[in-house]
Amino acid sequence: MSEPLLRLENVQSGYDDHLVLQGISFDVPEGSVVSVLGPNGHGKSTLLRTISGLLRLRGGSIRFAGEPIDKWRVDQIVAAGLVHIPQGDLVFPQMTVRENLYLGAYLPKAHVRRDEQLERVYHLFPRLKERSGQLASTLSGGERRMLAIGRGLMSRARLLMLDEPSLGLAPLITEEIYENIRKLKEEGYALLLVEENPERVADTADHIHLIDHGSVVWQGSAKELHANDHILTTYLGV
Amino acid sequence: MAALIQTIYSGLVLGAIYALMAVGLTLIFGALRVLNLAHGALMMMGAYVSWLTAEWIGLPAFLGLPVSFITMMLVGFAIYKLLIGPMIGKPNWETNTFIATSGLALALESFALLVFGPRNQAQPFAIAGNFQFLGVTISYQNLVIMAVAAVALILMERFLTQTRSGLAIRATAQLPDAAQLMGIRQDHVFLLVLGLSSGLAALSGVLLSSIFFIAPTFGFHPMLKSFIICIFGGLGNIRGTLYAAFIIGITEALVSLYLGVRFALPVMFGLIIVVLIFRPTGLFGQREVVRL
Amino acid sequence: MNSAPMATGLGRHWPWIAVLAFVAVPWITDDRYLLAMIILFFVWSLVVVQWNLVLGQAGIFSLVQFAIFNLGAYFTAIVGTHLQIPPAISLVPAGLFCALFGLLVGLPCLRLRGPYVALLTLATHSVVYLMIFADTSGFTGGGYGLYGFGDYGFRDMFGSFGQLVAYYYMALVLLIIGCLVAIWVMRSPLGLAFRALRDSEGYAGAIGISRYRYQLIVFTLTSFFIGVAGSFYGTYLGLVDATGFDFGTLMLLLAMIVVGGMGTRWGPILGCALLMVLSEFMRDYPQWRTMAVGGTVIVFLLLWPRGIADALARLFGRSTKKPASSAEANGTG
Repeated sequence: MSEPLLRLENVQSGYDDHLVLQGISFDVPEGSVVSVLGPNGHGKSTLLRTISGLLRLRGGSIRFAGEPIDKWRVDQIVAAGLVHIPQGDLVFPQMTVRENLYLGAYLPKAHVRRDEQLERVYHLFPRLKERSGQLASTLSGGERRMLAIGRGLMSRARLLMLDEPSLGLAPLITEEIYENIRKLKEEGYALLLVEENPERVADTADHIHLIDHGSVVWQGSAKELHANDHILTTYLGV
Repeated sequence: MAALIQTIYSGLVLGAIYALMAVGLTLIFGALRVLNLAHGALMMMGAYVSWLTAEWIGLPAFLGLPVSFITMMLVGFAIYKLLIGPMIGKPNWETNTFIATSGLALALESFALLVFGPRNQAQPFAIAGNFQFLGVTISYQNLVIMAVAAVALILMERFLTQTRSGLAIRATAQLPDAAQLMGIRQDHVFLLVLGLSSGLAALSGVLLSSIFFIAPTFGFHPMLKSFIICIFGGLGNIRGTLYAAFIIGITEALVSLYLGVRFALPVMFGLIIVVLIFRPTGLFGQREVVRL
Repeated sequence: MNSAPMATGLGRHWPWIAVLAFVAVPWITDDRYLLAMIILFFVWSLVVVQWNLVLGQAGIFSLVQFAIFNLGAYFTAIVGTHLQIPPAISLVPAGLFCALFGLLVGLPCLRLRGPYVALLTLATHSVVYLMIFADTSGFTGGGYGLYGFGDYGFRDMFGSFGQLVAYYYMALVLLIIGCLVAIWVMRSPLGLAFRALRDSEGYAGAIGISRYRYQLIVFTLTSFFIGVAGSFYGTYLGLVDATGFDFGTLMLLLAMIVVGGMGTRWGPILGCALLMVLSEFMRDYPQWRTMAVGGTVIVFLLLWPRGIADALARLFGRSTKKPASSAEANGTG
């Protein structure tokens, strides 16, 4: 069996003297959708920031496409095709929609296919095309979310990591976002979805991992999670 | 009345130089969140390099400008690589870079004092002569200054908006983490910004000293004014800084005319206190962007 | 959270041992130069210990404290020159005047964020200097300064050498008082709570006093002591002039605090001692002195970004670091 696209082994990470991730292990196979759930403050964002290189690994190892990326710089990780779409979007407020998307294709390899990729993103998110000359700070919450995702798609990503795509959005918009996420799955992207609420990912995720206090406490399929009331109430308060 | 117009014109010339001076500073703060207290010393060094180019190497005076720009740009690179770069990200880096750059400034001033002596020197990059236009005396040197400043600022604007590197700098200034996630190398951006800013400081140093004179400590007060201008315009806000530079330049000229030169700084200072009371992030500054 | 480098056994009492040693010095030696140097060390230490409260305890990156020091000296010199008030009487009023000045400066400044405070206070320093320097009325002495405004009468009481010793002990007493007040501010329940919560979002009301008010109190209190130090120093020198506002000295004092360890109890004094010794070492090479001191400061900051006090504490197994704030946490990486 070939190695999974992303493999985490006993990953430890945190801030200053404070260890947040206590030893996380899981895989993201090629073309699959893996979801990481858990209450706030338990390490979900820390996890993605560690994988994308914004945070240094304190222990354990991370392999992407067969290569150990523990010591890689953020730009090297992005260049390898591992794209992190951060919590809260972090779209550049003083730049237009188009400039934001252009920045997504900053790397040389992405730059050559920029216009082609731009068309694909506009096709997926027609509203971005309408607003392409507008400043990102003037967009609505849902549009900013689309912009963040679209921007992430501009580079040649193999694995997209989305940090709480439903955060702060009304249910209707969230549904729209997840529609698009499902389309991405169909196009063959591997996805790592971090969410607080299991409802959202139930239809989309192939595997689910539950994080509590910095460790993985449960893993299984969406169906298994749904059948397991105990887990749902204890960890997710649902 | 003629005096007034003349004064406003002088204010515009000053404004042009101040714009060059302040833009580099605000760029460094915007991208690195560092206050570069060595900025004045870099201006001073730039002025001396231009002087050396003519007096020592014997090249024509006008070449002093580009030579100075390139030399100080390289110095800027070195400052990043050796001093600021190693500190960023480590504990206390905001305070430490502040002190380190001021220490560098003092060291550079001592060095200049040692090498060039305390006497004032004239900047060779200067054209004599003037003409009358609508009752205003316009010196050729002032025209040259305005032209150089205009060209430099326009080129910089083009660079920041049209080039890939410029986009990278703007992105880093707005949201450092997001910029990195685009594949932008932060250390490259920082290096570039330090180099660019030092080059601009050199240009403004040459131009300013062509009106006044060169001396080892000549950069300190202009740097102080630059900071005031940056605060006015909003730290990190380039357009605001440009507007502020001209406002301050004209204000200084007017104050000098009606109250006397020594009141210029206190008046400016009083102005920013008032501005900061009502707009704590500067006249044109935005609320600090919240970083995740 | 302890900020003493050594807190067990004999180590616990080392400050008092140091005090005893300093008390003994004038009895052991009659080297005037040495005594004068130590007096300067006492004065600078007092200033940096107080200034450190503003920087490290209250978290305000203010640079106006050195100007306040000079204002204390000027107050005494001015009332001594124009109103014939003896410095002994104007010592405390100088402190009060400076406290008031500190309050007035603090009111607008403390509403600002980080770099704006630094730049605004730096500008304040410069403007005060410029206004004094440009004063041709004779009120402040302008570029020439003031002198002959009186002294404490030590010479009449104790003779020539005794006068120096008297200044020495007075400076030491002022320093001890300043240190005790500083420790009290840092270790009081309010002080500890403030430091722990200062950078957190939900601060307001959590400890029963607004952040702004606490900072204002610390700012004003430290201005008092710094003003007193200035008044003493001006009287001791017998001269005040605009060169006292020298920017190099300002940055040197700041460097002492940061190299020593901003926010720690003894860091600033350690930093003061270190940089003064270094400066003395280079006494014979004035042109190189600035570069040497500047270079040393830079090297120290690169090696020990949190200061020597912190490095020493780690050596002895204790951390002086404040708890990770959310700002620090999200800034790493």
